[in-house]
Amino acid sequence: MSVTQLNPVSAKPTPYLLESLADFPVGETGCPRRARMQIDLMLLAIEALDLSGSEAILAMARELELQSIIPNRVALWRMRSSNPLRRYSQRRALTLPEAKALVIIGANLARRLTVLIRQLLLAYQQLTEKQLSLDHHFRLSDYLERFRVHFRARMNPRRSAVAAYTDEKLNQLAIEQLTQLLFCTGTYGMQRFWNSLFDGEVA
Amino acid sequence: MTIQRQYSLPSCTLTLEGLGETKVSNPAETRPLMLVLLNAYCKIVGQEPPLTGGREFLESLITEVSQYTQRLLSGVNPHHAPNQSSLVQLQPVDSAHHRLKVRNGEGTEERSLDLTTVQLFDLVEALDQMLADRQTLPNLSLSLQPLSRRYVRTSEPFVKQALPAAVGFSGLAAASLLLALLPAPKVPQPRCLLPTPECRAEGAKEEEKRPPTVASSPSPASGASPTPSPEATKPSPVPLNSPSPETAPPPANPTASPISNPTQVETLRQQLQQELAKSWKGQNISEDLIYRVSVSEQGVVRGYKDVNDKALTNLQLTPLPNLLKVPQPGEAANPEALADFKVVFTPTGLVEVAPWQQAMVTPPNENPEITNSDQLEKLLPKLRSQLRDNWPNKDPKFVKPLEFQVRVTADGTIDAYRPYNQPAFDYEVETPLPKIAQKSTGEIPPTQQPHALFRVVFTEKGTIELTPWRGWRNE
Repeated sequence: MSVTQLNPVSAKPTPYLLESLADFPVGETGCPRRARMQIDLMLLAIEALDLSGSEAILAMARELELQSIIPNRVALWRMRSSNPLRRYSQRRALTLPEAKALVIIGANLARRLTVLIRQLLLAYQQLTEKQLSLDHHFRLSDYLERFRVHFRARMNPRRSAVAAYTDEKLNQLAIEQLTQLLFCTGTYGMQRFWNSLFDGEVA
Repeated sequence: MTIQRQYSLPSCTLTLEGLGETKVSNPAETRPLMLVLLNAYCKIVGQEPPLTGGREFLESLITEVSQYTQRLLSGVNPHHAPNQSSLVQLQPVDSAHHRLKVRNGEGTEERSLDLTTVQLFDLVEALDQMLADRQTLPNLSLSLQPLSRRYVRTSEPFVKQALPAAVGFSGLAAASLLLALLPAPKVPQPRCLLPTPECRAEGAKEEEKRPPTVASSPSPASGASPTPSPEATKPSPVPLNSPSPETAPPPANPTASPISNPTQVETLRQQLQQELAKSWKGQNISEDLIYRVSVSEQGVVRGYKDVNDKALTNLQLTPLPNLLKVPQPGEAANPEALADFKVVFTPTGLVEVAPWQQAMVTPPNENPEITNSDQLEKLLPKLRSQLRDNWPNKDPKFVKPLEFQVRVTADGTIDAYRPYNQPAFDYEVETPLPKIAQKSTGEIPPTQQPHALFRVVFTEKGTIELTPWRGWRNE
């Protein structure tokens, strides 16, 4: 496996859109571990919200002209598999342009889903205030269940970090992802989310 | 000119009042530019009255809300305490609520509001929209950057980090120092694992060296067998009539050296033989009575001990009780040299006396256990056929192998057995052994007859596995 294969961007000019996100010195190892996990989980939450989510990710890549970075489904899968929790985790680095492209796509998809995300979070708020179980809201329990199914299907159950996730903890994680998506929909939400991925990782 | 700007979101409305330029400098923009802030109102739905303040309040709100949101997204918290001087502070309450605390300019009054996540988002968004609006307060800007490693990684001071390691190391050092002071325990190498004649002699020698209380307990028969019999742990059976335990041979006093001069031993032997032969006519006994007798330098019997069972029951028939002279308490202070003899009273009226050590080196019939591979090989089929004949090859009820120790006599008859594992205890009746042999729950009692020990395993598959108890050995 050559370096050019790993990083097909290097040969081509970087899409202009990526400049909306700050550059951080990440070195040879690529994006930090937490960032790789977080980006994958964010996309997982989008897929749980929207049944055609994985198609939408590729469509959005085309729409935003990020095809030079994400040319096809396999490339997308390989990038997302840099998440160390993945069942078939790739020991490859996630480069800064790749991470940026994924975050931009995720944020744009989140913006489209703003109404649904707000609804679900309000429902969660109301259910917890009334101390009702999350099953009382059909759309919310639907989202949570799909998130859990996606998570269990794709993450490596032999990893203790994955095994530690009970259904309840996965629900909590799904709500956290929903919160992240909500903040991504804001005016500076994407930048704030991008910066949060590098909290404690920069000098 | 006073200008009012409003940024509305479903649960939060931000209203700014300020002064601006009268003339519109930018032709593309119809709204005038707001340069000076007079008042800011932040109204959150359900939380009356609105939060108000000047520029300091607004700047503080922008900074704190933005930083808090980033912490919320990343989950990374800086180790330093929140800025106490800030007018606005945000703290998490639970997973869905956030507490906003606002002090007024004098720092006296404090308001505290609990925001839901959606309300917080609307507040963030209202501020972001205001910041993005180039026609409103263009000198206000948002600085977004990741939290530095410096504020996160060294969350614990070095001393605190090093303390557990230091405690561990010093504990280990102290423990090893203490253990180094203890002497290394001496483990004697066991030399006699098989009841060979050489080992018997060794055993006899060691018995001499041991203190009397210990030495008196194991009978020579048990010395012959590597597995001590339960009788060996009983107190010495002989001194029934002896007034004090000091009389129990071998040597009464551990410091007393045995008489080793061969001529002296021979003299004592003859002396003892004559004395015993005088009064021994071969009373009504069926087999030999064997004793170990300790004699002082003057030829006085200082103690005796039966070696076989008949010797114990027929003790009163022998002249030994009459000859026993226990040392007086005063005399006992001086260690007395003793010589040990093996005394055999035969039914034919003879008395055989031999020095104990010599007698034990070549015992006439003292090694009844068969360990020779050839003999064992001949016994094994006999044992197998006995077990097989009595155990029809039916489906066993047990699910784990049953392990027994089985003793067979020289002609191959099963003599005694002993369950050796828990399933063997539980399912003993399933096997043919209770019908054809004597059970013993503890050690199989020792015998003078030649015998062989086998390990018999009845497996759950209905097979019988036989192996010599001490393995196959060629001597």
